[in-house]
Amino acid sequence: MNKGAKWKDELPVILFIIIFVGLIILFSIFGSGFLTVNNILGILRHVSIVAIAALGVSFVVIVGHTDISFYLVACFAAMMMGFSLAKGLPAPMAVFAGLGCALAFGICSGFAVGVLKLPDIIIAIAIGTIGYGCAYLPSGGSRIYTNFSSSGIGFLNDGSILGIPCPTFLMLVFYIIAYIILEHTKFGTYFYSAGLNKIAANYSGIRVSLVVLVAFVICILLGAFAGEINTASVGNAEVTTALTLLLPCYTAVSIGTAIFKKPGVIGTFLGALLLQIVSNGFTHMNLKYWYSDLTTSILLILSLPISLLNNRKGNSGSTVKASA
Amino acid sequence: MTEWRLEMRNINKSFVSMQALSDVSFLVRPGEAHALLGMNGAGKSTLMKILCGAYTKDSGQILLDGKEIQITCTQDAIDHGIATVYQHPNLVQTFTGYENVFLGAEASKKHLLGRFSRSDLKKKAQELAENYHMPIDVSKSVSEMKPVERELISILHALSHNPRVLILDEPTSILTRKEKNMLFDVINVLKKQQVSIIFVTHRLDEVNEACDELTILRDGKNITSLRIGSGLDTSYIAEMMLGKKLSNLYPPKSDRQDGEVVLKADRLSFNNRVQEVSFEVKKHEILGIYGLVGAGIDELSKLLFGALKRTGGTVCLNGNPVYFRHPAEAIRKGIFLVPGDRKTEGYVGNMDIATNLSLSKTQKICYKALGLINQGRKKKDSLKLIEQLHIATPSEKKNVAELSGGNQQKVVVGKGLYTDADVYIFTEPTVGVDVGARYSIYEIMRDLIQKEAVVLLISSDIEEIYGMSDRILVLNQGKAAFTARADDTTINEILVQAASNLKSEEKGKDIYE
Repeated sequence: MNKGAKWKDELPVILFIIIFVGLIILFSIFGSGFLTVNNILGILRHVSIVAIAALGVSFVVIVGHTDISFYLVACFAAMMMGFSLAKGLPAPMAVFAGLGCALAFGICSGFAVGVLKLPDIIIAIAIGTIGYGCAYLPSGGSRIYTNFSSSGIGFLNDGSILGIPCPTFLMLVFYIIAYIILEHTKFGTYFYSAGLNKIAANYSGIRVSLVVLVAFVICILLGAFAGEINTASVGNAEVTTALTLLLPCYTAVSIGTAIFKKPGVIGTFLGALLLQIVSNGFTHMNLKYWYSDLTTSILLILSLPISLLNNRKGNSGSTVKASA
Repeated sequence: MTEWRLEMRNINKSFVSMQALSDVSFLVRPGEAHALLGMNGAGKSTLMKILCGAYTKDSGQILLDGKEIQITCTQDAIDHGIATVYQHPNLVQTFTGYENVFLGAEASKKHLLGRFSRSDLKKKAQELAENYHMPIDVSKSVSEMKPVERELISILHALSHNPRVLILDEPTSILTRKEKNMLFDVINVLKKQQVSIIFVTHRLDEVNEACDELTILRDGKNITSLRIGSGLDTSYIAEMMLGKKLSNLYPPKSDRQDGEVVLKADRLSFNNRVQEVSFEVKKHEILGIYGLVGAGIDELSKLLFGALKRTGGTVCLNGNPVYFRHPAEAIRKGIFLVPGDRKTEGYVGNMDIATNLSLSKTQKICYKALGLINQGRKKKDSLKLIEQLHIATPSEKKNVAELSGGNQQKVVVGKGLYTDADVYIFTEPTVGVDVGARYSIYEIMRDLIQKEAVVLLISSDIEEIYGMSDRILVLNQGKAAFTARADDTTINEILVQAASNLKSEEKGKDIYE
């Protein structure tokens, strides 16, 4: 019986490997040029935008909340970056101008949810709408081309650092830092305990409201940065630049949670990677992009019961074991 | 017809680690109010939960009017005419009284898609109330009602099922003297209508007033059943409830002389739940704070810890006034609370033991820079605590939720020990903890005061308070009612002080005379 339980515990991992390997085989057979070095490098490069934003979402999910406003605020941040470039700011300054705007939004929603204990979804609806509204302010909604290609902002997408494409490099840096913070510092303990039991964490002397606030700020900053990279890759700043981030980010986090039974850095990365393989493979099979959205949504829905099931089973099964 | 309305015979119930009820029998006549008495953990709520269908018995018989019945879920109990009024009425605040009275009934087949008229319901509810002489306006919304009215609404809700047996679980804990009389009047009417009433309570004075017969449980066994008649020997009842094996359950008290005052509270208040409570805790002593449900003991513990913000009074720690806005500040100043509700307040269940143990003092397991965790130190320190506290676990990586109640509590205590606090507040430290682990938690408390710390033991378990404390403070309805050295008082006196009604005492009436 014990063996059976163990096997079931590993079920999500097995399921993930089957889907992962299955898809790769499928795409290699039916898609031309899927399994080439160039394409694999391309996947690693393209995964970075979703992966960076999803990393931010992981923080909010870890502290037990939801933020569905980050991608709308990211649109605003990207527009502010384009606007700053048009005003003649150097590229790095423009990036930080966009991030600064996002920071203000992150502090607002973090304060509302963490300190004032307001419901996160409703705050996100309001904050997100304000953010997306603000995205129209710099240009009235039209694309911003001025100075864009001459500013050197393209480096964010096309450049390479130490021989690694810039987005991939930044993604790796963020993931390594996040991994160290979450798994090897006391701050990681704070994030996780705030998400698992807010009252007990508070009574243990952890300032949970502050922890939640910080998680929201990280989420919006990383989301905004992902939006900026996306904008740099497009070649001009447009209002809708980050609108596609919401679904893949939550799916990535959710797949990660299903695999490891808790939201975390590696799980989120694997989730994002799986999604990127799906969309890349579908392109190679000449399928339209909406099939990839459809698949992503189905993966999101499938991953949810698996992660929940796992949690419940882990709890009840083990209490029986412990007391026996 | 048999003599008995309800017969529960040879009921057994065991939970994984303990026998909660062994061969308990409980007999109630028609039209009688029967008190069910016992200390915490005596098994009275288990017995009642079996009767109302929340638990199923392992063995034994339940007979109603001589016929054996099977109760497997709460609906079974209601169908058999066994209705329960819970201690905290579950009412829908925004609904009116009559809507609450018939809550659930509107979904019955009769009403489904059929005519369902508010005025009908209102009329029926009002009639029901008049039937039992309840002075209540059922059209008011529950949120505007007084506590006694809510109590009556939940009784009406129970009565709407035409019960033959009515269980009242601690019905008077929030009521004033006058309101209690109102409730007792209702009970008298019910008795005349041959409804059997089971009255679960701690308060001996009410047993005397409202009940005809009483049954005492202790450690899951029948102790005695007797008719109340003219008067009640409260000290005899208290003795029966407690048993006499008190001394060997607790480690010996120390005979050290009192030291200087470590923690001092002066007229500490929290809204009206804690009212101007003052006390001192001296070095090398355990101060026990006892109170019944609603007496404000849990609030008091949280006030001292900064989890609730006081509305009045002062607290001094080692002579310096302190005010904590967050438990983090209390922990830094050397106060640690082992909270009363272990599962929601004490530990993070889905997290491993080692992390939980170091949660309140993470800096001890971190390198100075960047908050990086020294995993070796974390493991070493947690293993040390696991050994010191005899936490039964195969590994420090096991989730706390997977441990037994006693071991979970030890983890919470261990978390406190790791902070090296000066003041430890233990709230209900042994609820749901088996006897062995109980004793070791008591030993830890004794060890703590041998060192430099002081301990506040806040509990609604009178045995524990009496067995462990050097001095005792009794709270009654938010006020400090009584304080004494443990050697100079008796359990009965503490019980009387905690359970007596302050208002009636103010009028100079002593109900025990």
